[in-house]
Amino acid sequence: VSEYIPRLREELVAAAARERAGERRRLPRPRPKRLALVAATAALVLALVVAVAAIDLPRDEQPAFPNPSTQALDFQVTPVPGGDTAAAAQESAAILRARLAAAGVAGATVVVAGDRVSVEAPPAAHETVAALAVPGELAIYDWEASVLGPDGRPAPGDARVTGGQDAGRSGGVSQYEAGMRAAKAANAGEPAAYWLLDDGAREVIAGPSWSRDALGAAPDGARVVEVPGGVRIVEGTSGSEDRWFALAGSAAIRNDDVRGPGVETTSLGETGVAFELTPAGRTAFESLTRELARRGEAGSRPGEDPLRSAGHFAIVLDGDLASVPFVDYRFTPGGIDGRQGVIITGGLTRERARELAAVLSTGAMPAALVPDEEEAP
Amino acid sequence: MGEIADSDEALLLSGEPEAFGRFYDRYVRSLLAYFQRRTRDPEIAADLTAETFAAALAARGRFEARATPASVWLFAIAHHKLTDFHRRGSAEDRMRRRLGMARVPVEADDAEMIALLGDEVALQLVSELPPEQRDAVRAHVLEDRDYRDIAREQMTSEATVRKRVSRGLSALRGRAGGVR
Repeated sequence: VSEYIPRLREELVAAAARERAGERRRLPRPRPKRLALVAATAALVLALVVAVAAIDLPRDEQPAFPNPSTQALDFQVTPVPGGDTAAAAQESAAILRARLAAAGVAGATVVVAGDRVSVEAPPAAHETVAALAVPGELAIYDWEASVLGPDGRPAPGDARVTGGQDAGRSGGVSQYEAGMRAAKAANAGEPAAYWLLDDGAREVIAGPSWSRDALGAAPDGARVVEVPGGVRIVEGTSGSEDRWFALAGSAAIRNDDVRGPGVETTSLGETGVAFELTPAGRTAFESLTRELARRGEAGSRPGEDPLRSAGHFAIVLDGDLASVPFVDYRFTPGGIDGRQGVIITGGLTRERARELAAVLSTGAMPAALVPDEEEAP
Repeated sequence: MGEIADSDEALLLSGEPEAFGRFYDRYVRSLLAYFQRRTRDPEIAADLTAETFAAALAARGRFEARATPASVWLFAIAHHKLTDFHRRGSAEDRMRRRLGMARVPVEADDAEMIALLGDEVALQLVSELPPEQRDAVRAHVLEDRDYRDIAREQMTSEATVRKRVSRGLSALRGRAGGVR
């Protein structure tokens, strides 16, 4: 027979009585054993010595002689229209070096030559280098207010568009349909992107691209559509063909709001990337989640599952929908405390989480780094 | 005021130690289930529950009954403890130590009871209760709704809802075996 509930009650009521009487009860603190303390200190010192000896940060200059154990990975730097390619290349290389260091990749060299960035690294590290050369654009959106419906406008109250309780999985459409919805959205003033769509097959042939010309001549039955700046086509995690969403509007949280990303393991054993928010980020996050709680409560009906009306926010990383958590207005009616930070989970391996943390530690790339075998956007 | 008429807020704001005990009685199973469903670890769920009630006891002087229902306030603390646990990887015992509370060990029977409170198996048992008890238990224990709200929805008295919850939980304990 379980005794836990009455025993905890006894402890609490006794504590309440002591509080009322102004009494204090001191519990003995376990004292660390001297031997264990010495051993722990020795282990810490040893670990530091080993770590310092093992640090081999990526170098900025070319080695005097080609290193036979490394191979080059070349990227073409493609800034936004009107951007300074040379400056973008230098900045991108600096960011890549910082990411390599944060991810603990040893023996890599990053050099800039014109509009190209070249990374000399051991072949075993090439996959990691490619994972670190991504844009790294993080954005957190108000999901219901941002997902576009068939007319290119948000429909916060329509579960067929937002997915309702199953936000991020239900309500998705094909990439072609997401592109069509995105093309109907209002212009937010940022540079537009272009997509090549095949209306007959209802498929996306190419995109996004920052110029029409880069898409080449449209084949028969295909056409180029212009997607207004600030509108994103993101890929959900449902695994079905209809897993795409078009998002418009400004993100509440971006890379600049992130501080101190690192790998964490949740109590459920899931590996995730956790980060703190800057003061401005905290304010924005609290404001976002407060609004979601308010909407969730306003939309609730007596007798109905409270989560049916709960609002969601979407964490988007480089066009991928990382997760779409809900805000339970019953527990956090005033929004979520931004000091708690954010954790991204969802099938991440420890290695992938380490790469992601490294990517988020530096901010987004100022230009796309396109591997040589691919075509530039 | 009689026991039934005392609101959560009145119990929380009362300086009487036993009043806090009665407030605890109303929510301890909901909190254990809440943490169990989110951590899948009875020992952690127990520690987080204890720490949440300790924090509520220490902070009840700052509770404002007009601003928010006591249950919402309690679960906001619980949510904070859970988030803190996810970030630290362990349940803290700061508030319990501050109040001089000894840690209550979680024995095998306790773990079984907590697992039942949070598991789908328990949900299955709930669904097998008579409809009136099932709805009352589901609304109060699983959805954390207060008695007044449920009574209003079911067009009955608060006392009747309490009775249904109580009987439903007694039946569940009987079916689960060894659960208090």
